[in-house]
Amino acid sequence: MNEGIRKHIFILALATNLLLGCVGITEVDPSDSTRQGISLGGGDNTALIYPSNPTVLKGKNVARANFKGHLNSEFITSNAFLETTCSFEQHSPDFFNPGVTIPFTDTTDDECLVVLNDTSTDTTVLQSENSSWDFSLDSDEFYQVNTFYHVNLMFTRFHEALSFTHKYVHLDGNLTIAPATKYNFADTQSYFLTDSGVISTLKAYSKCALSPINAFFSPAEDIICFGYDESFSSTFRIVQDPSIIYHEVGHALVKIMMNQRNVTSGVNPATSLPIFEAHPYESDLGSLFYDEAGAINEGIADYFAHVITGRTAVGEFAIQQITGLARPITEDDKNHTIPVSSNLGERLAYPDYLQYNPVDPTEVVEDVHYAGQIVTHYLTALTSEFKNSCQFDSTDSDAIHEYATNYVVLLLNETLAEIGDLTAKGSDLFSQYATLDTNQENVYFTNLNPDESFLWSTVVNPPNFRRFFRTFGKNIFHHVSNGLCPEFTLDDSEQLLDEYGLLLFKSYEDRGNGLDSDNFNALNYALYTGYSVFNNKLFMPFVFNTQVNEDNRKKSILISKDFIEISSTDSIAFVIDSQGPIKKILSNLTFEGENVTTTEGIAGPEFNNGNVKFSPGEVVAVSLNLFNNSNSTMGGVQFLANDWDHMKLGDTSATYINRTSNRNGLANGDITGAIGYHSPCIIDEFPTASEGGVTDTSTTTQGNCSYISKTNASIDTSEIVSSTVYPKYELDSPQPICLVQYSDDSETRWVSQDFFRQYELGLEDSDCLNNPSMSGDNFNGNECLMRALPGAAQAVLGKINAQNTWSSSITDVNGEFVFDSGHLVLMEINKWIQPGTKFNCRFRVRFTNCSDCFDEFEFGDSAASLTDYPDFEYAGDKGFKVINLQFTVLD
Amino acid sequence: MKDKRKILFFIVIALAITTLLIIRPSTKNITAKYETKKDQHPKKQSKWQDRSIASVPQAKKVKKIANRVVIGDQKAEKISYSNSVSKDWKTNYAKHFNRMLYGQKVQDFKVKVKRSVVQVKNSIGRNLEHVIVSYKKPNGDPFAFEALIDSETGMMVQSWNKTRYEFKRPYKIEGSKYKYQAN
Repeated sequence: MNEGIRKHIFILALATNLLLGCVGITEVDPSDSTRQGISLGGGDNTALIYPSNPTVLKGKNVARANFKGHLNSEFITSNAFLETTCSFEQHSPDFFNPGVTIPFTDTTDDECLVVLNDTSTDTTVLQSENSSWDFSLDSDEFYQVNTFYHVNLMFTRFHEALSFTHKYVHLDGNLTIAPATKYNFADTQSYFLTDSGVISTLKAYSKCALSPINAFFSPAEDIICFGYDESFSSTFRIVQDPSIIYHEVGHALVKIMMNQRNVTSGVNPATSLPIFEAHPYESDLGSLFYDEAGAINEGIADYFAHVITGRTAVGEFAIQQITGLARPITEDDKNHTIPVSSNLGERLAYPDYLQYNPVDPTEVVEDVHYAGQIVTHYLTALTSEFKNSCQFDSTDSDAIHEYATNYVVLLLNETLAEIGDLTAKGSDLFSQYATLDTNQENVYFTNLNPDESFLWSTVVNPPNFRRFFRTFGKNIFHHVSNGLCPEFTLDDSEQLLDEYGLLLFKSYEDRGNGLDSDNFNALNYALYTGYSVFNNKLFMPFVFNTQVNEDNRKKSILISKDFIEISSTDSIAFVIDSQGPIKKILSNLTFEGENVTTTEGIAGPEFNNGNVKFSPGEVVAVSLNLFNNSNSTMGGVQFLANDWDHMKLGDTSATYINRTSNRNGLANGDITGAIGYHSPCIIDEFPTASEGGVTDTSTTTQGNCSYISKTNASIDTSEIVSSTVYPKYELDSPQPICLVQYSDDSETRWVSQDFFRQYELGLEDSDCLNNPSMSGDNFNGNECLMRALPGAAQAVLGKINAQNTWSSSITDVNGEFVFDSGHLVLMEINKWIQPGTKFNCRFRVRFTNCSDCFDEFEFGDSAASLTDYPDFEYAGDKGFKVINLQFTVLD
Repeated sequence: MKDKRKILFFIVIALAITTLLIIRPSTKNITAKYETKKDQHPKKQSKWQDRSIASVPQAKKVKKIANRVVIGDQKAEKISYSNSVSKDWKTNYAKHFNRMLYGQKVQDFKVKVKRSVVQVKNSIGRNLEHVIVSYKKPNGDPFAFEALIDSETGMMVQSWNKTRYEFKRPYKIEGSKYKYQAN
């Protein structure tokens, strides 16, 4: 039959049924097989959709999904297949009519979304039948269609909010802050998931075989998988709970927002040619283990469920089924099992509730979902504040919810765009390709520079609650209090943040804190007054940083880094060196995609002896036994074992790395100069000058201890003679953290590992850890004897209670505690080290609610000049407490 | 009267079609139904199905040297290389990966090349492979991440975009207290 005729007959059938009393909502009883099959809504690309999860639909907790009586007829897609393109409305100024903008709708070239049943190889994309998407209730097809509807609903809503964001921050707002939101989404299609600017199709699988039941988002493949479990009384599928669909899609939205700036397009001002480039990496919010960035990611994902549902909890059906209780996202929700409320002083505050599990409040477990509840509770409370205080041109509650959530999505997008920016620009105002200003080529306002931005945004200065909410608070001030909603004042904002313990900063950094890496000049936004991307809108930045009103700080306790220390009464660290656990940790990290490749033949778990000592050849897991000597809880404790700028070259003209090729080149006269050796800078009076420490005073002389690397560049491989590379140290190159004690006839001093291996052990390059067979031109003799494995060079501890160690803080009611891989760093120990050799490893430690880890008074003690450290300072010790872990290698 | 007949006619037709649709063979056997559906549309295919998951996307005017996408310094004209491209890089990577599993095995291990790149800094190029590594862990959970792999040695330079599971079971490890021993 002709498709058109079928369609018309279908419509007629529908109309007839409507005449006979049905009103677009039908009841389908799964036990009545005669009523299975296509029921209503056919012919107009609609399907029967459950608008919410079974618990919400029934108004009570239910053990199994039964959507009978709760299905609505909804439009799915007019495509023949269960897939769709995405569209984004982007505004630009009308140059002939000042104040008027012109909308333009960009649609993805390819499908942005496809829904499939499962991951088996013979799965195909579902097709409509006669322009109908109705399938048997509870069939695989039924759930695919419902999954499609809810995923698409979330994306459509997000794109509306993103369009509002783009228009406001670039065209309608005051432009007192550099907008981080991408200025030309359409060109790079970065309003959706892309692969280097080419649209990537999100594949959502509605029935994934995951045992036990689970769900995941794979950002590498752009896949969302929703599990199912047939062991329940009837098949339980995660997709039966749309709030979890929104949550998982929320992770994809976080990826979009974090990476919108990581594809650049425009015109190269030097050549006038178009340019298109993508950063090699992508930003992810959070690692695989517990960290605050991951908690923020989970909190935002839950908030996106709230954007659609407006409810006070997520997973009322699915999470309830799996854990026994839905996850609350406001204090007034019934699922709370502790006495929190939206009353003053009773909010779910940081850091006290970082480990709050509503199912069992006595449990002490670090989990990103638990910690993420603080984020979600704050975001929903902020939404309520906007609804109650802002002026909207509607009194309809749904419309007001949309306005208020638009504001919050704007704030989230601005914040994540800045934090996730691997181009290190921070705004297109500083892009030479957008502004055609060649002077902006090396201007950076976030994440140090493009070469180091991934390291900075994941390890050295990752998003923690302070960084996130400082940036978020800045955006509230400029876009909401000074723009969209003047009724919600800066004081209101600070008081709400403080209610959640999130007023973790003292100034907003709203004048910018950048660097021109051409000449290492410090930059702030004021230098760019009058700049523009859309050239009828001029940038009018603040000259001074806005300070937090300290009267508003009541719950947000800040603690000096002086109060974190190695336990003086207990052991200095926890050590794991048994073969079995170390193999398990290494394989576990490898499964998780981390680079923990050991130096074959030089170190590995086969050397481990389990004697709780550092022994030659071992791989040892270490967790510092940190003690909080203050009277307040410390949150987000991070200790770093990555390379940093704590050593000084003895002679700035002797920079060649000690390796065979360089020694031969120098001996043969192919190159001129000398091998460079480092000495440890004196930090916190260690090591003293008599112990080998060096010091200086000039902060402007490169190579000095007092001069911190502005680029974090480590090894220069640009000298090539007759096709041989002769690597050299950069003057302020970051160095591995471990020093070694060296004694000769006259003195005992701390020296670099390279010096020790050369003059004490006489080790060849090939006998070193991370030797040239692994590291190539990046070989560094200063990690020849002891090094942190790169995929396990930082650890995060959720919180340390007052006057306690972390281990005491995490101990459960049975007096026990255990480590997860994220609590440990892995140290590789060279098998050639002589027992009795003493090491000092310089870990850097900080925590989120630290009063002196992130900022300083720039000029004297003027409150108006309190400013965050520029990014390069995190290559040094300024923002950290340096913890010296000393140990002797013993058999 | 004529109109009433027309309306009655249409109602009868519509009811007949509706009844036909309702009483058509049920779809208890979803697989069978699915196969039938596929057979009904043998020539139609989703555009999405034309591509594999890790297909190489069409580049948008990105700078290339020797068919490798340039990352890092885009302005370098003459590049010297610090490494070569070995045909064994993928095998070597798999060896490094498997060595660190200590006897455990993954299933469906795949290394798909997204693009070959040359990372340029100070006019020195390093050949790298941008890949998606995917596999099933021993418990059957799928896992994937992106990585840059050295084109000569097969060593992983960096990894990112790792699969994020909603319900995670952390691996618990017992630690022992280390007492400092001077010698």
